[in-house]
Formats: sequence, C-alpha cells, structure tokens
Amino acid sequence: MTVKVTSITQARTAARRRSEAAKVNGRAATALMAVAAALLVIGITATASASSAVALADRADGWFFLKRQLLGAAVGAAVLAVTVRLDYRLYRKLALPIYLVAVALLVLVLVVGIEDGGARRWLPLGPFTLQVSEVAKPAVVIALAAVLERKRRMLDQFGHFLAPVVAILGIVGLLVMLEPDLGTTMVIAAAGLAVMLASSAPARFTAAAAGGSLVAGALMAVAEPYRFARITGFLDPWADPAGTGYQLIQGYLALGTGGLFGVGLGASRARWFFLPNAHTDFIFAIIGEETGLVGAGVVLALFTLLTIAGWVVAVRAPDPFGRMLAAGITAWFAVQALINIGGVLGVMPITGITLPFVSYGSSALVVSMGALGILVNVAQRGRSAES
Amino acid sequence: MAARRAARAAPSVRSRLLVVGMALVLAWAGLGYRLVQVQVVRAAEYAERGLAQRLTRKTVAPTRGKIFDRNGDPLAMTVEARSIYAIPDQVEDPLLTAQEVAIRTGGDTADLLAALESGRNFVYLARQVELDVAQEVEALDLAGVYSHPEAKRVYPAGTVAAQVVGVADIDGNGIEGLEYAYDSALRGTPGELVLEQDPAGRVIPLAPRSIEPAIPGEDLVTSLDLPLQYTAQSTCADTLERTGAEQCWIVVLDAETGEVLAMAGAPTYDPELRRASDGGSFSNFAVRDMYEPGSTQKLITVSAALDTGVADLDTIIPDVADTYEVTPGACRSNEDDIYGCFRDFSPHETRSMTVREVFTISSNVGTIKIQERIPRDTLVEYMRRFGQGSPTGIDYPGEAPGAIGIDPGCSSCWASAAIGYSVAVTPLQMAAAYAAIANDGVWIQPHLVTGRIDVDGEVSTVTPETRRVVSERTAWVMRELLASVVAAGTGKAASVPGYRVGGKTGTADKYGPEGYTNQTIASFVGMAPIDDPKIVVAVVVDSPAPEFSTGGRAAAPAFSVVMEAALHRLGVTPDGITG
Repeated sequence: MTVKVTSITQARTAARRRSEAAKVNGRAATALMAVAAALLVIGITATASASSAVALADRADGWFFLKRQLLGAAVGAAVLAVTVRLDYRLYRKLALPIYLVAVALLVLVLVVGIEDGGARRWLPLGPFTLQVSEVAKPAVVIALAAVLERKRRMLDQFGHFLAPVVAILGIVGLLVMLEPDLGTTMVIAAAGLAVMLASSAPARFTAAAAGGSLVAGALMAVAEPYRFARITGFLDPWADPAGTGYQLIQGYLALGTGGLFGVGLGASRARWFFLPNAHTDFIFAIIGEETGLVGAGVVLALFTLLTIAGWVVAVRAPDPFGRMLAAGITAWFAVQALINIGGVLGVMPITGITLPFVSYGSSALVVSMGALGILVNVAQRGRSAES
Repeated sequence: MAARRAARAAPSVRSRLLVVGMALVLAWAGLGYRLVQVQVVRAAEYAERGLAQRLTRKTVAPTRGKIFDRNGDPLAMTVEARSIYAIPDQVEDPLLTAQEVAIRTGGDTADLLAALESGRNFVYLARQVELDVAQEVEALDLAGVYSHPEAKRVYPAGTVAAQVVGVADIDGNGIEGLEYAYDSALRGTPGELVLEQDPAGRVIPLAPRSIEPAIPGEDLVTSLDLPLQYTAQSTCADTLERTGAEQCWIVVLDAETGEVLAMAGAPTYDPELRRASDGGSFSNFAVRDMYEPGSTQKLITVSAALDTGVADLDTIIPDVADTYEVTPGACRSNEDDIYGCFRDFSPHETRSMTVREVFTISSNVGTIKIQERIPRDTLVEYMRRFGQGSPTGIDYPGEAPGAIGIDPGCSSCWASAAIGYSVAVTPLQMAAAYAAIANDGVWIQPHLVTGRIDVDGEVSTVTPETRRVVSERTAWVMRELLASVVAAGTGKAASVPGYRVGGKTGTADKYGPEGYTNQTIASFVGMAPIDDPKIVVAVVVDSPAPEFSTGGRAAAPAFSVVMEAALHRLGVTPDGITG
C-alpha cells in the first residue's frame, strides 16, 4: 500500500476511490468489448452483403466469404477468451519468441507466399491462408513495449532509444514493404510510435522517430511510380475516373446512393461489380450505402469510442508496459481505421488496408480479437487507486 | 516499486498521451464532417451518377396491328416466331452446323456455310421460323447456334389481295400498300423496360424496375371482301390466259359508300416470300397506272352535254359520218391519218343519230359532234368534277393523279378528250367516275379502310369526301344509256343473268414510248342493278391479243363474272328477266 491510512475518513475516501477506479476500469473493459462486438456484427452483416455477388461469381457460393468470416470470428472469440484472462505481463517474457516467429513468417511469405495482385502477403494454410503482416502488428507492439520497458532507465539517451526502435520496426517494416504492403507498414509504424509515446523516453525522441518514419514513407511512396499514382489519385479522382480514380469514385457513388438512411441491408448496388474490393478495404462504402449516414455514422462513433476507451486504458494502465501495450494496440486499431475510412472518404490515399473487426479477412479478425483481449486485460488491471 | 513509481511519475507521459488521444478523436470528428459532406451535401449528385451508370432502358416491341377484310378474315397478322442465329467464332464445325440447320429450316447449306465463314461476329441462319423448328434446332445443341424470339408478319390470304394489303419488310416496317399507308397506326407504340444492370450488363436482382408496356398497333378493317377479291383476282388471271394480255386490273366499288370491295391485279406476288411471280409487281396498278380510257370517257362527255342542257337523250345529231376531220385534210387512209382525224370503229353510212344511238354504238364522230355543242371550258370542268386530273385521295400510297392533256394550242384536243384520248386516268378513277352516275350524281371518294380498332377496342371510322357531279336526272338518264349499251350495244358480253346491267366499253390505242402502238387498252366499266346500282366494276385489260382487242371482247366477259359474284356476295335482289 502506498497510501498511508491516517484516519477512518481517509480510509473511507481511499476505499471509495478504489471502488470508483475499479468501476472505471470495468467500464473501459466493457466498452471495449461492446464496441468490438458491435463492429463485428456490423462487419459480418456487411460482409454477407458486400461479398455475395463476388462470391457467387468466383466461388459459386454466395455465402463463401461470410462462412469464412464467421469461422474467423469463432476462432477469434476463442483467442480473445484466452488473452482476456492471460496476465499481460506475461508478454514481457514472450516478446522475443513472438517477435521471432513473426519475422520468420514474414520471411517465409516472401519465399512461399501466395501471390495476388503483385503482392505476396498470404501463407497457404490448408484450405485457409494466413496474412502474416497481421501477426507482425501485435508482435511489434509487444516487442517494442518489452524492450522500452527493460531499457526504461536509459531512455534519456537517444542511442539507447533509437537502437531497439530501429531494429524492431526496421526489420518488420522492411519485410512488409518487400511484400509489398505500404498500408500495413504505416499501421505498424503508427502502433510503434504510440508505444514510444507511452514509454518514458522524452517526447522529442518519439517526434524524431515519427519524422524519420515520415521521410522513409515518403521515399518509398515516390520510389514506385504506381504507388505514387495511387497515392496522389485520391486528390482528384475525376481526372481519371476509369483508372486511378475508379475505386474512390465508385465508393462516393455508393455513399451518395445511401444518403441519410441507406438503401437497406442487402440492397447495395455497388457490390454488383461496380466497387472493387467491396467486402475488404471498401466495406465502409457498402455500409454507408446500405444503412446511410446513420449506419456509417454509427461506425465512426464506435471507432471513436474504441479510440477513447483504449486511450483511457493506456492512461490508466498500472505499469509502463501495460501503458505501452494499450497505447500501441489502440493506435493500431485507430490509425488503421482512420486510414481505411479516410481512404474511402477521399481525404487520404487508398492504401488497401482493411477496417479492423469489420472488413472481410479472417487472419486479421483473429489477430485483432486476440489483441483486443490483451487490451481488455490491461484495462481490468488498471490503476485501482491514486494518491 | 520502481515500476509503480515510474507509472506515477509519468504526468508528462500522461499529458502527451492525452494530447495525441485528443488528436485521434479530432481526426475521427474530421472524418465525420467529411462523411456528412459525401453522404448529405453531395449525395444527390453521387446518387444520380451512380444510377446513371446502372440504369438501362430496353425497348419493348409492340405487336403490329392486324389487317382484316370486311368479314373479319385476317389479311395480315403477326405471329410468334424465332430467329436462329450464330456467333461464328463459337461454331466448332461450320459445315455440319450449316447442314443441320439447313435441313431443319429449309435453308441452303452453301448459303449458311458462307454466312458462317463470312468473318462476321453475328449471322442469321434462319429468320422467323416456326417455334417447333427453332426448338428442333436448339435441341441439336450446336455450339455457337442460338435463337431469339422475333415476331413474323404473315399473310393468311396469300396472294389474294397482296397488292392492296402490301407488305412489311422482315423487320416489320410497312413498305408497300396498306402496310405502308397505315404503318404508323399498325406499328403501335414501343414500350420501355427500365432496369439496373451491372458493368457486365447483367440485371441486378431486387433493384426496382419499371415497365411501360408496348401499345399494340391498331387493327385495320378494310372494305375488301375476301371471296370477291379472290374472284376478281382469279378472273384477272383467267383473262390474261384467255386474251393473252399483259396485265389486267379489276376494281369493284360499293356504289353507295365508295368502299373498295375488291381491287385486283394480275400478275401478282407472294407477300410471305416477298417475291413477285413472273412479270408481277408489288405495286397496285389499279391505283398507280394511268391509261387513256377511250370510249368509257364518253360517259363524261355525254353527261356534260345532258347536264348543261345542250343535248338530251333523243336530240338528233345530224350527218354523222364514219370519219371526221377537226384539222382539214387529216384523214388520208387508216394507216396515214394524222392528228385531227377521227374515225368510228366500223365504217358506216353518213346518217343522223340520236344521242342514245351515238352512245350505244359508241360512235366517235357522233360524240365529237355532241362535244362541239358544249363550251370547251365546261367540258374540262365536268372532267374535273368526275375526278379526272387529280388523285381520288384513296387511302393507298403512291396514287397517280391522272392527267387532262389538253394543250391550249391544240385544236383537236377537245375532240380527242371527248372520246377518251388526251386524258389519262387510273382504273380506280374511272370506277369512281362511274360510281358517281351510279350514286345519283354524287361522287364519293373511294377508300379501303373502313375502321381502325385500337387496343381498347375503340373503333374509329372514316367519312369519305363527297361532291355532286351531275344532277340526279342526268345520272338516271346516263344509267339508261349504259343499260342500252349492254342490252343492245357493244357491251352484250357484260350482261349478268337476272340483273339489269349498265356499262360502257372502251378500246384505246395503247400509247407507248414511241407514240401509239397497235396494241390496245381494252376496258369495261359498269354497274348493276341499273335502277339503283349497288356495285360498280371496272375491268382494264392491257394489250390483249388482236382478236380480243376491244373492251367488249377482252373486258366485258370478266366484268360479267365479277359483277355476278359481287351481286351475289352483297345479296342484291335480282331485278331483271333472265335472258
């Protein structure tokens, strides 16, 4: 006990504070679970609709993607049940093995991965595939948090801060860019920066790392002409409505068609081969089309809530490791969602990353639900009292 | 303890986390703002663009209206059929495909093979075949061979009335006859199917669609009587065979209404094959071909004389010779006559004749002498009143107007016009002129379509134009004259057992590209029963063999057959003594 009880009144006050703190912790945990559950339900509904036309055409089964997503949700729920109960401090010890497995997978995918659309992102896994960069996200967060926690006393020296950061982020970032997958690299970088921000390192170090990431990102963007065109395409989609602007415009048309209240569940027109990747990176447009501003607004509100709840968990975390984990995981969810929806709404380049908990993709769903469990676990162990 | 201290000692960490957290929330708020912009502010524009790329309009073809005869028998109708086509690129064995399709559709293997190997993307192998034929071909499951529904225009009466009904082309556009004249009414109004489709042109299920059904074309009820039309046509064909003529036209009019009961020409064509028989034509020459009428014109000349009072039935025309020179010295010999010489058909003594006699024996000289009593302008006016020089306005395309060819500088032209030269008419015009006499002096515009029935069963009828041409008395007197021609004059062969028939023969030298030939246009126009005529029949025979060169020989017998049939068809009570 760090609080000295000097009187009964003080003891009562302390007890009240503890119970209030426990209530807040519980509320944050509940909010996280509820928001994720809501997003999951919305996502599965939207996947069912958005993917049915493509599924019917490509897989001769209109429910092909829905079935896979349901399976992913079931596996994700099992993983979540484990991580929720597992003391997050355990990951300090598991950080290195987890990181090494992730790196091994990232190397493996470059060798034996399934190529699709010019990128090797998936490892064959029997009838399923594993998107390995999804595994890299929590691995980087855990590894970075563990290292920065261990080096917490030396973090006022830039060299001690920079070395692990560059090593951990650099290796994974490079491997993911080799797939290539700029969007995921950006999400991993954002999650890493959040971990640094939550660490005890001076803010200017994090700012320097952020600046370095931005420069690296800009260089990579300019290096590949196709990538540059795609990234700048969002600025004026109407300049090339059949080419670089096509997906964005079709997304606009879907959202506009939805209007205030939407055309109704299952009534999306865009999914009839107008909108590419309707069930993956553009699922937000389908939600907006079918349920209108109301439904799309609910999704935005849920993600805002997720961001706030996750951030509260980070701020209230009982120790720096928990804080870093919570900040990293929350930033991962929030930034990935911002980039995805920002891309659909034409305020950011379209990077092809999916909407957490919502888009089709069972690897992502399982990993995200697992990470959510960690976040909830941190929440439940949040500070019980404050002096 | 150290960890706890670190946690506690992290107010700066907390505050920077709060700043970044607020930045993230702000980012979400920004996206919310942008979402409203896309889904509310610009929603209408986007929704419209989206709809535009999905919406497609398909034309629904209307069913073409039917054409009926006066009894409700179909002359033209549209039936379900299928057209067999091929996508040559998909055809695996062109020769086999061509053979298999040709056997079943009655096509020509070589033609089909040529089509399949033409290098085109789409070829028809057989159009508008019957449904079971298409089914048979489909059952073969030939690669690249398909069929689609396509309505077929059929003509149940075949060649009968073909020239009147006309024909629609394979795509259903009226190109001749009533099919052409009433094309816009028969065609109907296309409907429209509005639906949404995906980028590959597949219909999006569940998307709302609207259909504006096609409005079928109107049905036409014609005044034709199919059995009578058949009689007229076969009589024409028989006449060609009997007289060796080149062409024959018959027009049968209802004298009181102007309705065309039959309008026949020979040779004709097969409307379903869209192919004319030897020398036949799609064209209806009873409406389009002009000829110089010869003596049938005398009806108008004598009517004008009677109606203006310059002569009457028993007025004596003195000194009627068998030749008459309007231009002195024009008559030299039968072969060397120049314009201005007129001869009667047969030589006779110079004698006085009554008007009745002049008409009955069809004396050219006598008629010219009657004409000379009529002011020249008055004669032309009567010709115009009887409908000469202008089209009747019948509801049939391409009608010839006829012509009154009187040149002011031509001294012999009035004489010439009086006996049916220097004037050109169509068989229909002549029938209508006689119908005016039959109808107590009132000319009625002839017409073919008596009613149009729209999709709701509403019937619209036509009221033909009428005008008085001569007085009732003149008409009555002229009918007496016409009766005597059949009873005792040149038209005996036109008589019909049981009925009093009146009419007039006409024999005109045929005018060819190099002037008058020794061929004739032989005609007979008449009516029955003569006291109250119901029916007018005009028969025109083009270039009969010399032994049949006169109207009395070539045309009158055909008239008799058709008139008898018409009287029976209309159930007209006999008024004459059989003889």
